[in-house]
Amino acid sequence: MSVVAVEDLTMRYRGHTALDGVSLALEPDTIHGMLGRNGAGKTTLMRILTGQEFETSGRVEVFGQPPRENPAVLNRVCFIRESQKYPTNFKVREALAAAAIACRNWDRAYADRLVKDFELPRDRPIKKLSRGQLSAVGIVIGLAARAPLTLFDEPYLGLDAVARQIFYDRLLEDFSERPRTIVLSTHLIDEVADLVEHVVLIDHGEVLMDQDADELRGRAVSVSGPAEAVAAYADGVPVLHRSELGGRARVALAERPGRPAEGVSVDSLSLQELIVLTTNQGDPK
Amino acid sequence: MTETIKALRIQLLKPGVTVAVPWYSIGIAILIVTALFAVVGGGSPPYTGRTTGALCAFYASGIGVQPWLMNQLFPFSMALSVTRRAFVRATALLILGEAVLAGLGLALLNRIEIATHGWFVHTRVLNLPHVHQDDFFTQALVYGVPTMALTTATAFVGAAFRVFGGFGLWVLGVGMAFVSAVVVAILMLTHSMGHVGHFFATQPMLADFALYPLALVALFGAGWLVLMLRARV
Repeated sequence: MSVVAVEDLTMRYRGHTALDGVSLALEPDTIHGMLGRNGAGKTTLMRILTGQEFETSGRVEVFGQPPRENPAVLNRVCFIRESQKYPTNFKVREALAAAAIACRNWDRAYADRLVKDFELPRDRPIKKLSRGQLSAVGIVIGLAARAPLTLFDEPYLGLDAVARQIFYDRLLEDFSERPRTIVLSTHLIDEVADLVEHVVLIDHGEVLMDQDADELRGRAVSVSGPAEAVAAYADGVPVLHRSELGGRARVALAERPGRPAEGVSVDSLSLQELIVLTTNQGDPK
Repeated sequence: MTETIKALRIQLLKPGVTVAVPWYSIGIAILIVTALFAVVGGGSPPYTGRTTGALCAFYASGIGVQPWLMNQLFPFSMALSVTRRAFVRATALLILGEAVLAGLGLALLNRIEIATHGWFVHTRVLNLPHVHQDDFFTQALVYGVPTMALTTATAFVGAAFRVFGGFGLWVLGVGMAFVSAVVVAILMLTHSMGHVGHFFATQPMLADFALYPLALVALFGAGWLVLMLRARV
């Protein structure tokens, strides 16, 4: 059974359609990448999944039940947002104590280890933390909560590359020991490309892509060579992007057509390139 | 119930903010007043001449607590998957607990003030003439219910800010001020102001300090509940 099942979900807010007929399912024990541009609707979707926002229409089920005001569902969910608000006069240790009270799978020893890894000052008030430290507090809570469904929405704003790598390492390490459903929304697609197992691409409130990451990685290609040969090779395949200079052409294809002709080179597109091109293009299917 | 207790425990993680502030304030107020009258001296002045308004410090200092709860602790609690209903129930328990504590605590301080002849300097901080009750528990009601009314009103304001933002709160404030002004104008034009004053003056003290504040609790509490159950994070 899917952990998350969404059907024809629409959310309108003050005349703006944040989500428009979204349908998707998130399988258990998987790291899902929720990707898309700013304002695409990712955060809104995650807020609805965690009962923080109210949908206009459609069906939303998390662990087989509607999440809104449902402790049976919400007790198994942890949602860490980019702009997560903490009580400013709380110290780091008080924020962690609150999480320990609320999260039934809270692992204190693991939280202590993460606090050390991220070099968080336990007794410093939240309002005196740097942006990166604030993100680290969210990451510690999100990981140590060990919620069966954990959603991270741009969790590492302000974190340096080293701290981000610590996050990826800990996430993967903990996930392999205790598999659970993780939804990771990020703009740093290249950094998470090897981490995510399933990709949901949202743009303008619609799902453009909902696929296995491995499939995606092998599927889309960049083809370059003499313009005529490239055109012949790409014939009948959805083109995501095309550029020409002189007699040479370079196209990005949503699928690998087959064996290329001589002089035509074919390279796999990175997940980031695929996402960027698909977002610019619209649905490749 | 477990969810409510969970939410309440989170609210009480900072007891210095949620519960203790009014007690610091009244403690400091008593110290200042006592020191002031000890320095002023002057033999044995009439007891009524040393009546102070220091009790206001108790009520005024707690007005920031609920807006803090609604606007800082509520979003954080929801991130930790506390439901709105659990948060609301926990806050209602907190408000009730604070009111009971305020009633009994202030009534006890009142008794101490009487026993020490006005903190040894013949001053009146708590045993004010218009709120005095002979019975301890009635005295506790007279102190406690207005605390509950004030806390509920500030919770409503905090929730209004949470739901409507700064501009919405401003509109609400202006709207309430306008309605109040209209009511006062009608009372003035119909020469009824005196009747209203007379009505409250002739009511039993318990009605003025417990019954009518309880009506405010019901009014603001209902508004607060409606807003919180619709609050987005």
